[in-house]
Parts: sequence; structure tokens; C-alpha cells
Amino acid sequence: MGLGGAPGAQAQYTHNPFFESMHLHSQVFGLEMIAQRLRLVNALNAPLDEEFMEQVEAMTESNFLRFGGTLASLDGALAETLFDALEAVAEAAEDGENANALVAEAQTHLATAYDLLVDPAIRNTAAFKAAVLANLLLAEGGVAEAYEEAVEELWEFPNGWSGLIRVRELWAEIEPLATPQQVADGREMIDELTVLFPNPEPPDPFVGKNPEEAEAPAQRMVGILEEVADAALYPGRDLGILAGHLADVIVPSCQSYANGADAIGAEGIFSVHDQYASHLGFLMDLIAPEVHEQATSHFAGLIVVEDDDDDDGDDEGEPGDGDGDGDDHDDDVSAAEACLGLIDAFMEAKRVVGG
Amino acid sequence: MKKSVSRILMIRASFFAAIAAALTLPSSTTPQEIGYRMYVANEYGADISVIDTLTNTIVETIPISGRPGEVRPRGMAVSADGGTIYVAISDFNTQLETPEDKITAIDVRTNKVLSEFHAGGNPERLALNPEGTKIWASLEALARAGGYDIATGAQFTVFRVGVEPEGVAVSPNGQWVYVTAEATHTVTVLDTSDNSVVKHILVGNRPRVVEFSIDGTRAYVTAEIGGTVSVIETTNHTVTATINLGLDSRPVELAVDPTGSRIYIAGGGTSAVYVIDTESNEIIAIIKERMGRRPWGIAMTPDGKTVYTANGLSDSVSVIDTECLCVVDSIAVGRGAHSVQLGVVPVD
Repeated sequence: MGLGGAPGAQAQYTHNPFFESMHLHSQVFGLEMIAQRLRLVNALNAPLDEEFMEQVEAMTESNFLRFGGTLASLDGALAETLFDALEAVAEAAEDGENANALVAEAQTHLATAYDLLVDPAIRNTAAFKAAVLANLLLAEGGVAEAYEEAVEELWEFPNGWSGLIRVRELWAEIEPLATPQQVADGREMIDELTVLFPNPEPPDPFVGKNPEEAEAPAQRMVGILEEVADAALYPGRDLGILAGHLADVIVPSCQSYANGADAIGAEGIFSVHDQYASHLGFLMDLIAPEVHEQATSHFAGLIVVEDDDDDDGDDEGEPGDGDGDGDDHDDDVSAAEACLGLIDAFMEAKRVVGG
Repeated sequence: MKKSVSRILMIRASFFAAIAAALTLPSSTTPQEIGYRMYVANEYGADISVIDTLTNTIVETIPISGRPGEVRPRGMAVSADGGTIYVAISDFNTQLETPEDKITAIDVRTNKVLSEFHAGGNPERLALNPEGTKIWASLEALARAGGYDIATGAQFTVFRVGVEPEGVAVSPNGQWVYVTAEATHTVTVLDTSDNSVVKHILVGNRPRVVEFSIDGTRAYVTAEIGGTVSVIETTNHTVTATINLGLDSRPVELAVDPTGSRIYIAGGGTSAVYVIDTESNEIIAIIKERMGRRPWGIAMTPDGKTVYTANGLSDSVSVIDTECLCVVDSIAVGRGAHSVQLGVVPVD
């Protein structure tokens, strides 16, 4: 099978944040998603729609699991305090109470966690901010997906409105590095997205809308960010390199599982799952379905993630309960073994794509 | 069934003969009776702008739907004689199959709709076989591509391709159909002799459009995120070269020069057209000055002298002279110009 992609395509840019700090950006995505949902609890009127409550509950589930293990190892008290604060917000929201004070408290603890988890020397770089922005714009739960998913799940829409607030903040920090044309283009793309998300409440019914309308400006914005920050923001450009890198990234996770540190192990799995699902999953399903089946089976045994095609309506749960995406996994396989199985799958994927 | 080289040339000759006839008419005929018309699919305006290429002015606007923003025209294909334009029409909702999903045939002479037939699954781009009896469509919502009988509109085959299929092309000998898939980064190869899938080829990241070389020995595939063009050897369906346009280029459509010596690639990211020498696979020019914003669609006149681009962010068409490799004109068209396709006005 022919291998495509320009050799050394990533070398056009100096920085490669998703390769250099894949685990970190997954942790940060968890922090940002919690921040996104806290903003929404404040912005939306109680009582919150039942469908939206699922988003709120995700704060203490998959969002927290992306960084909770590492946070607990650095500051156990903070991890517990933050978790409790988020739970309190979710409970108040579910009860239809005004949660503003609880949100403010949770935001304070979240900010402290963010400072602890992310080295300021990294956090203040344009490459870091650009990578965060790319996820906010294009990842599952991001701005573009929020608009597209709203066709079927109306209460995905508010995520886009809230995410856009953060996009504007981070763009304002990067803008001084941009050329006048890049500034104009970036602001134009944000303006286009703002038109699509005028309010946090979703337009009901969501008919007559082009569900992909947010994707074009979001993609264009990420292209602008690559140029401004001199950072490659599409880790899937060379799939062979990516597959090999995923195998490397989760080695520490497998060691964590072997040592009984499942929460930290799961964090690494979340990070590689994002990249596998975004860049390799569809391809493997088409050209090497046995590899895809192996990967999805092991993912299911380690973490629970939402699946766009999953109609089971399963809630997100603890790592390793395997109920999220409906794929079969062998209950006799330990977490450490499943993690090693993922490494095998990634290496096979690398071989298949010619990496 | 493989077609002989002579038959390929005969089919192409009929198209170019129509052009030649158009160009030899007496000067008393009006611009609308001779020459080429460039059709522009305006995705958000839900209409087709018709440009007279002699004057580079719009002579008509064909409404596709009374619901712009809900129903859209995108990819187009032309019959062998240039007299019929086929347009892929779909709604914006990829989750639902609606009656709006269809392929519409427009008569170039009258700019009226000749016929239409249902093509479910959000058809995005189209390609005809050399005889003009079959039309192939990428079905964006289904991760499938379908083949349809032009005369009856019946779907005679549908096959699995990668996720988010877009580009589709038929080899000049009619044997192969190539279909790109954005999310899978692949080109799927179909053998039309038995409508079987023979291969999935891994190409650049987020492939958009595929076109065959004039002699059919190669196919070119743009990769929007990869910033590349993959060159595929069609004898064994293998990528033999990758042309790097730069990660910021965001290439979408491409047009092959009638001599086969050049390809022109619309770069949506840089708002530029890249000109490639097909012998060396090197960039020989980048046309940027006066270019409209975000060119996606691109097509050229059969004499190879003029290239037209559909520019989605400036709602315009740029006109490029291939001698100076420069933009010589800009034409305002409808909202969201997506693609361009040349039609030939029949000579009475």
C-alpha cells in the first residue's frame, strides 16, 4: 500500500506540541473542558436541561480522569477538594439551585490545579497556546463539533459558545505575534464563529442549519495558528510516525498499571485514544480491521469514552469498567496486559501504513 | 472492459471537435451561441452562475433550490460532448437522507434542467465514464460511492470507500474509478469491469480531489492538511511521488492541462494556484496576485489558455491567463463559490 504524506512535513514548523507533550495536552484538555462547563453552569438558567446535565456530570468523570491521577500524586488534598467542588456544582445544578458561588469556588481550585500541572515556562509559549486552541476548536467537545453535533444532540451547542470565549482569550494572547494579515484573518474566523454561537442556549429547533458551518472557519483558524505559532497542529500528517509515537507514549502508562497506579495509567490512555480516534481509527477499520478491533477492544478495557455512533447512551464511568463504547473486551485481560496489547496494535498499525 | 487507446482518443476528440466547431463560427453570431460556458456551483447561494468565457460575464443564474443554506450544489461533471452539466445536490445535514439528495442534469444550450434523479447520502462530487452512460458519485454521508445509469438514474452499484468520501474520477479508458476519503486519507480503486474494489491507497492527509492524467497512466490526489499532491501510478495503483506544496497551501481541486504537461492546483489556504510541471513534479509558478480568497474549484478551457477558479470566501471567480500565469480578471458570482465546470454551447 502506497504511503502518502510529505516526508518531514512536520519539519516545516519548529514546534510539534502534540508530539512533544501529548500527555500534557490531554491533561490540559480535561482542565479546559471543566472550565468550559463551569462557565456554562453560570451562563445557563436553572433548571438545566437534562441532556445538558450529562455534560456537567462529565466534569467529575472523563474530564477529571484526564489529569486526576497526576494531580493526586502532586497534591492529594487539592485533587480531593477540586473533585468535591465539582461534584457540588453538579448537584446544585441538578437540583435547580443557583450554583454561582459553587462555580466560583470550583474555578479557583481548577486554576490552582492548572498552575500545578502545567509548567509556566511551557504554558506561556505560543506553541502551547496554539495547541490548546486547536483542541478547543477541533476536538470532540470543541467548537466545531458542538455545532455539528447539535443537529442530533441539541445540548452539545452550548459547548461551542463557551469554548469560543476561551478561544478569544487565547487568541488575544497570541495575536501580538501575528502579521497584520494573520490578525485580520484570525479575527474574521472568530467573527464567523461568533455569528454561529450568539448565545449559550441552543436555537430550538436546530433546523435549517448547516452542521458543518463551524468547521470551515475552525479549520482555517488552526491553519493560521500553525503559521503564527510556528507549530504543527495536525499530528496525523504522517500516520506511520504517529502510530509509532503512540506506542512510545503509553509505555509509562503500562508501567503505571503494572505498579497499580491505574489512575495515572489511564491518563496516558486518554491521550493516545484521542489521537488514534482522530487520525488512525477510521483508516485501520478500512484497511486493517483486525488491528482496529484489537485497539478498540483494549481501549474499552482501560477507559470509557463517548462514541459518536454509540446509541447505547452509556454514561461515562471509571477507568476500566469498559461499558462506554460497546466493544467487546476480555475481562481476563489485566489493565497492564491491555495496555501492552495497545502497544502491539499501534506497532502493527505503523507497519500497515508503512511507517 | 479496457478500452483501446484509439477509442480513448476518439472520445476526447469528440469533445475537442465541439470546441473547434464553436470557434470557427462566423462573427455575426452572438456570444451566447458559441464558445464555452463556465458553470460555477455556489454552495451557500444554492444556485449556479453561468459565465460566458468570451466576455467573462455572467449570462445567467440558475436557481437550484428555494432554500439556500439548506440545499446546496457542489461538485459538477460534464458530458463527453460538453453539452450537459451534471451537478451534485445535497442538503447540509449528513445525518439524514432527504429528497434533496440528487444529481441534476443541466442543458448547456438552454441552461434548463434536463433531468434529475435521487442519489441518497449527500453526493459531493461526480465523474462520468468516457461514453457518458454512467455517472459516479461520492456519497459523503455514507462512506460509500455509487454508480448510476445516466439514462434511467438507477443506481447499479454502491461500494464502501473511506470515511467522508469526496473526490471521484474515472480513468480515461473507463476501467478505474478512484474515490478519495478525507477522514481515512485514502483513495479507493474500483474496477468497473466487475464493480469490485481492488485496493485502498494511503495518500496524503485529508485528500480532497483526484484527477487522471490525460494518458491515464497517472492520477493526482490533493491532500488538504498534508499540503501535498500524491502521484499515483495507475498500472499498479501505487503512490510513486509526493509533491510538497507547503503545509499552509491547503490544496483542494486540480486541473490537468490538455497537453498533460502541467497541472494547476487551487490552494485554499494561501489563496494561490500552484502550477506543476508533470515531468519533473516541480512547482514552476505560484499565482497569487489578484487571486480571490480561498480558491477551491478550478477548471480550464480545452485550449489550455485560461484557468478559472471558484473562490469561496470572496464569492468570485478568478480568470488566469496561462501564458503569463497571472490573474487577468475577476468575476463576482454567487455566495460560496465551490467548483467550476466547463460546458460547450452546441453550434447549430
